Amino acid sequence: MKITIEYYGIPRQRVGIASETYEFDRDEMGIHDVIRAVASKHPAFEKHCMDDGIVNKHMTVNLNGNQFFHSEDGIARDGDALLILSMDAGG
Amino acid sequence: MLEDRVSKANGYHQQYLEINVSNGVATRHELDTTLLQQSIGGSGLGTHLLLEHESWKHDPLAAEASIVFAFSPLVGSPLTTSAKFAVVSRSPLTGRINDSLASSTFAIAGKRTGNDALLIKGRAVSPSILVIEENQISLKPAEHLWGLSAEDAELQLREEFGNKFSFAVIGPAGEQLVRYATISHSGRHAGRGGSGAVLGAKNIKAVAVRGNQRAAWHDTEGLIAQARNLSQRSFGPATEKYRELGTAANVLIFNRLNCLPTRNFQKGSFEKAGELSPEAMNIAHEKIRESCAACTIGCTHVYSIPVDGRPSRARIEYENLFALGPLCEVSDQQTVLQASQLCDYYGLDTISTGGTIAFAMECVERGFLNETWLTFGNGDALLQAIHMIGRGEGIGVRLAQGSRTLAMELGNNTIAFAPQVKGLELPGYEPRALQTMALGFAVGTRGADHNRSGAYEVDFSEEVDRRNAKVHQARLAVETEDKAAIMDSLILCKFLRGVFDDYFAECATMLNLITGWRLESSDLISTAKGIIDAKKRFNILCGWSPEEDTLPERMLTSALADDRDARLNRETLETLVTAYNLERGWDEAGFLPGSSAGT
Ligand code: SF4
Repeated sequence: MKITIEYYGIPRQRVGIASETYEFDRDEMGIHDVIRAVASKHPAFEKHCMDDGIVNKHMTVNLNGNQFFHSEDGIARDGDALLILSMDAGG
Repeated sequence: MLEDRVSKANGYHQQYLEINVSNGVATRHELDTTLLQQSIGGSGLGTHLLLEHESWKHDPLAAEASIVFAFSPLVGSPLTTSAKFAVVSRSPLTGRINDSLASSTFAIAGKRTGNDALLIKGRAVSPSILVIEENQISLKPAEHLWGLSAEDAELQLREEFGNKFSFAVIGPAGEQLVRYATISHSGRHAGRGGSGAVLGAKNIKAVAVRGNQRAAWHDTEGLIAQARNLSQRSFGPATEKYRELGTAANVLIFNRLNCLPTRNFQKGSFEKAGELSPEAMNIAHEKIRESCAACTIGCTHVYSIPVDGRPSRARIEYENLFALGPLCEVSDQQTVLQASQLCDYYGLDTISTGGTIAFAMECVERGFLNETWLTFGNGDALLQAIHMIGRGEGIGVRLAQGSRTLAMELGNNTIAFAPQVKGLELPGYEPRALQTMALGFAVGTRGADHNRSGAYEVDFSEEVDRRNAKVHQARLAVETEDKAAIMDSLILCKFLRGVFDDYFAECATMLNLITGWRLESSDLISTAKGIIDAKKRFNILCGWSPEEDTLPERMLTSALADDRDARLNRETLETLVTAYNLERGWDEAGFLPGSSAGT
């Protein structure tokens, strides 16, 4: 399955790109595991945006522009887009 | 000259000054400890003083109206971002309570005059500078400053008075009584609700303050340790976004989620949003980062732009950018930067300026307003409209009243798409796509407001479906308002909020270190509720009615054009508002226990 990762705010600053696609040899997988794959490819992301193996409390994850999953316990499927962004929306 | 007196309470001078600028008479009033514990300072204290002075009885631009500069117990302490003050008055834009906050040395110098607040009434016979130097109060002529931008006037004031004074100044918009004019000081702005017009109506171009009175601290050592710890955390990941990209970091993600109000709230995304993102601006323009006084974060990103062939600078924040860019469908970076700069020059609230102009653009498009040059996407028209508002010329005179008044004049049910609640133009959060925020806007005591309600935080969490509001979101909206009420009364910058693990407990600790009180989290939560009750009481006395707690009709009858799932109907919003009222301990309609219409 193909998952597009879109980076916004600080995650984009750390990763240095706006988006990229990951291919996995499965039909669906936990958002948590997708984030692990991102972290293993981007050490700067892991260092600055994660604590204890999950995105830190200053980041959040959104699936397809719909539901937010701060605890990353949702499921991603083929064609999904995972948005990773800075938590604090205020301005 | 007023008599010297000894300060009694740690963190406070326990007094405020009432100045009548009609005759230059100043009166000192005591503030008792119980009242200070109930209102803290800033917005809370300012609201209390307005109630005490029965300010609801007067037109906000009448001589009898009061305007309060309220300081707080944290001002002057080493706590990061604490150099803030609140300007509180009845708003000429909404007719309801208005409290705008800003940071600068004005807060520190104002408190050092030996007062916890300055309450100004009356009307000077001619343009004047109100000078408060501890016990000496005087009015000096300001004819030579009239017509100058706040920045130019402040430069001149500095030359005349010296660097030991700090100044709060209005620009030409305040002089022209534009109903969303700001009060400025050192490049910062008390922005929303038109406090600049209230000062302008009093013929006061500037307030100059200086003093050496310091309020004592209960536990100086503990306070310094706490301040160090807070500063340390303010350098961490919680504030990274503000430091690296500024508040404009919202642009791209809001656009992706269809929350970026575009074309007078007809759409939630703008195809050219990328051109206005800070990521793109950083490539195209030189940028420096600035801070308010006593701030370790520094969220202000200032871009270099050439204007008329000369180098110039423009401050950009998300709200300026959304209101002067996507909302008017203007995508040219230079134009949006220049529009933002012009608002600062005239002393105009950027959100209300952009909101009113975008509304006028839609009225032109639909044939309700005969200003055919004022069209969506036309950057030159945007700049021209701002000049006309600031100078009080042509259509600018009508735009200066805000979108609600303009809609009432135009008729044809244009009020259905005027982007305002209680007369205050909506900030850059599309309510149909962020429905906890929609509730926050509807019930906000000062109108559609993202600073007194941080309900958007709820929408960006896994606790809710942001486009399908449920009743439990009312409780979450109340919690964000309670937090903001404390932050706005202490006062600390909202951009610090991410660093706190236990928000109310840490706020209580800071307040206790300064005052010696023994407050706990639960005390502060009660205080927050009391402050919000006081604001509501003020509004009820002004003539508030439950029908005001709503959104523009279009937002309740049509889905977002580019996100059909983003829809909100009147029944849902009314259910949320009722749940909110009950959660606050008010009756279903929103009246406080024991109050009713007109009481
Ligand atoms: S974070 Fe920004 S707005 Fe807040 S005090 Fe610092 S510079 Fe001012």
